Amino acid sequence: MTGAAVRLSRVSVSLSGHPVLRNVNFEAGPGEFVAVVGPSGVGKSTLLRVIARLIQPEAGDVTVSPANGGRQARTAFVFQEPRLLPWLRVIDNVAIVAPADPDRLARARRVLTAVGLAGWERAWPRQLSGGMAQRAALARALVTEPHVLLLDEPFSAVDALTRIRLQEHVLGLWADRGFTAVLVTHDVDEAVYLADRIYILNGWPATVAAEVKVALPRPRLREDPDLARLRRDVLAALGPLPLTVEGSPGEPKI
Amino acid sequence: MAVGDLSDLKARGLRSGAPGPVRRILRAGFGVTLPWVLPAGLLGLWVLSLDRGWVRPYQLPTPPTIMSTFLELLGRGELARHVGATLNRLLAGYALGAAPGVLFGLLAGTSVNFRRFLDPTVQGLRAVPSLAWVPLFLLWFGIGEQARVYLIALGAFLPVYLNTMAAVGSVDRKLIELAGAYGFGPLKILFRVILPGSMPGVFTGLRSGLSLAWMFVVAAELIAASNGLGFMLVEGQSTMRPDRVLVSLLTFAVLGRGSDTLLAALERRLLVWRDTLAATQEERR
Repeated sequence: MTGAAVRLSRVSVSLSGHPVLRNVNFEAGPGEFVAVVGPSGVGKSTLLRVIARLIQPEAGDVTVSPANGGRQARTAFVFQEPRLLPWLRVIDNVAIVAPADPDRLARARRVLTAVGLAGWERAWPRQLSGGMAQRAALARALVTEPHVLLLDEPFSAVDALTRIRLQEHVLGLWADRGFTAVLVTHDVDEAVYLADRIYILNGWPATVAAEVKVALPRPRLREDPDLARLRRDVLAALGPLPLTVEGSPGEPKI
Repeated sequence: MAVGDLSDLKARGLRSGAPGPVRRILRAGFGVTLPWVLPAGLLGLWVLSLDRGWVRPYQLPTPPTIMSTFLELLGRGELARHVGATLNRLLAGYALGAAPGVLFGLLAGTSVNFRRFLDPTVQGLRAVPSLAWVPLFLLWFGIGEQARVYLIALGAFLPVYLNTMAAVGSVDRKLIELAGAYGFGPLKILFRVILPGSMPGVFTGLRSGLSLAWMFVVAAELIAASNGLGFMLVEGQSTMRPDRVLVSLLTFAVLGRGSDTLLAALERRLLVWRDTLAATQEERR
């Protein structure tokens, strides 16, 4: 599996008549881990949905092209909530998005094992804890062998310990499989720990306020003073707290 | 213990903590006995009130009288004939009402235009108390099987349609977005997301449709029939035979309860995934 290059140039989006993004330029190279941070309601999730082609921009270009020269880039989405279909067992929740071939169940079983859910294939989603359900959602994304993995605050609804474990999991899978990762988060610590590069969205309608490169070797240490310094840079670029967008009608949470 | 094991243990919690064998038998015994307490009490009150002369036997026959009437009707094949006639028209009417109820409910739930087209008319028809249709149905279809079956179909249609439409409307939009993000086509969204997601509501409709179908079969047979359990009621009343009336009533109760139990069992089987109190209680039994 290889990554894809994601490129948004001068993208503008309005939702229900309200401008949300204005002239946003964004790039993620093949296999790169890019984070997008910004105050809540600024349009981070909208940016991710534009890449996934769930939202059509009113202006600008969006291209997602696989590094290996293939024509169709596959994107996979992990939402803030697991969004497992409650009427399907865990394995079927994963297999339902896999390419339709006789191998699909075996493939689903393999990714479930990769996310640490071996033995839970026949469980119903209601029987999983929050962290396990989110890992199942991750497995569902991986089974499509995506070129680009889009992560919409996927760790925000789980407890702190589970969050750390999930972050390590995603990092491991990313290093292993080489997909491009775009992570939307409001957690600056998370962004500097995980990403190669951080886009900071701000204003209303939102534009890219700053771009911060995280040129630190991996594996990183969470207590690394360089991470703390970068964290201060990102927070400074975000401007004064509280982190809400003035005058914004708020991004519709979908 | 690794960090992740904590959450796994939490999820397993529901399955563990099995009680010992003695407690399990006691608990099972209590579970089996509890539903019979109220009927047994009512039966006791019945016998007591006849014994003390609070009611006359011609108003309320004794349980043994009813039993012997029941056995007599059963032996002559009369009860089977009436039950057969009632079940036949109930099933025909129910199928004729519930199937389009589900279909139109799905269509109205998924298509705004279809809803605009059909729903105002159905809501208008709903405003008419259903039994008020009886004279018109008799005029249109004559005093025959057709009128009875159509009446039952009308009774079953409305709750099935309304519940199905509401259920489709209440399918989580986030799941539809998920389906879009993974490139599901419209048919896959319909059959893999919307349909299973609305099943709980469809079953609510099917069950209330069935209970209305029972109501309408009685109405139809009370007014115009020469057989069926409803006819037994009228006949029992006009011949001053409360025992026959009660046999008919009890048969209705058993059949109505039985048919609902069947549907409920089907519902439990198909909707075992539900994250509800009822589903988890079922799982622990």
